[in-house]
Amino acid sequence: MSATGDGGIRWLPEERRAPGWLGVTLRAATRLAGAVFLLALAWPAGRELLDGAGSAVLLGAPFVVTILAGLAYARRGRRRVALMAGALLLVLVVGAWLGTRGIGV
Amino acid sequence: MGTGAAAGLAGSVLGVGGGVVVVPVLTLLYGLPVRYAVAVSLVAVAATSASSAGSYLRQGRVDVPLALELEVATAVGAVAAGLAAPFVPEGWLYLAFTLAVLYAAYGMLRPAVDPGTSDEEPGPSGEDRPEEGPPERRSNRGWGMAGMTGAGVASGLLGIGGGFAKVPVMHALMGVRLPVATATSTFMIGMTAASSGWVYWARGDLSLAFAGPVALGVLAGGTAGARLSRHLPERWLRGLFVLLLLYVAVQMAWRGWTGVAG
Repeated sequence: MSATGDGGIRWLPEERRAPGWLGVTLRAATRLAGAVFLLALAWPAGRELLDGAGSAVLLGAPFVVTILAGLAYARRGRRRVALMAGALLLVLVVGAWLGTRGIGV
Repeated sequence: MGTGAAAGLAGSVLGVGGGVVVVPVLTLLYGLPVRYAVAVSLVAVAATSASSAGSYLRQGRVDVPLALELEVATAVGAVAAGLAAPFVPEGWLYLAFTLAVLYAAYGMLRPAVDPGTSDEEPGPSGEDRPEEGPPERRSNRGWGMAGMTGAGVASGLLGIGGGFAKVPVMHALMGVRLPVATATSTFMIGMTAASSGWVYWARGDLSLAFAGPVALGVLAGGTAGARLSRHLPERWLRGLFVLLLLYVAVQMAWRGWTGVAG
């Protein structure tokens, strides 16, 4: 990633800035989900499956970004940030698991 | 899809979250129970976040270490609220959402501060000015975490992003600059929505027949809104939208009141 963001503006010091490919990952997820939803419109027979796939991409993207960010900061030696990413991932996974167990029905 | 497009358009042009549009429309027009409307709204919020945060990350405006730290507290609140939602009477959910809609209307009536043109905007020759000045405090972490937990609870119960709480907590309480706070909040609301969204989905509360078209509409509306915002008379749009929100608030309050009283 370049030292400055768009327009040459430095919004944050280097150590707080995220790797640029995190943004690319999110944008790719958005486009993938959009394409899947469009396909669902064009193919009514597989609509529920495709709507589910698109929703899974949108709700799954934060998981992927959290994992990637945790790994990136761990490689930079930022163990506290990597630990936070791990804790966040744990909360997300436990929440989804509790949902599948029928908790809160 | 029209609902999603309206939500995306409103979010892009007027700076409000999609949830304040999606939940009332799905409940009042389509008769969807609040719990199901909230689940669809969470997918829409994730779509809004992913499309906007991608650009913010590229601009280097998202404080990812801070986001990950605060999001742990937010996700705990969102997951707990998602699990508790079935036990909260629907009437109370309507009343809580009425407050959220009224707060959104109030926010739209306040003088708009565009983070990109605030007093922190760099001058013509000052490339690095946002990074200059006193270092950001990142203070009051304990209160910040508490505030984020509250934002997560609101998101998990009502299907909104919770940015209305995250930005003030980061900016006013923790000393984060406004452009960074808004971008970091946008990045975080996707994680918050996902944390409770999976709970709703796993429980069978997510109606895919609504989620797909609404999310697609949000993505399309957000893109169109970003282009239209340069040409539309924003003042009139704001006024009309506030009137619409007030109408929605009255409808939701009536449903809530009859639900609670009945």
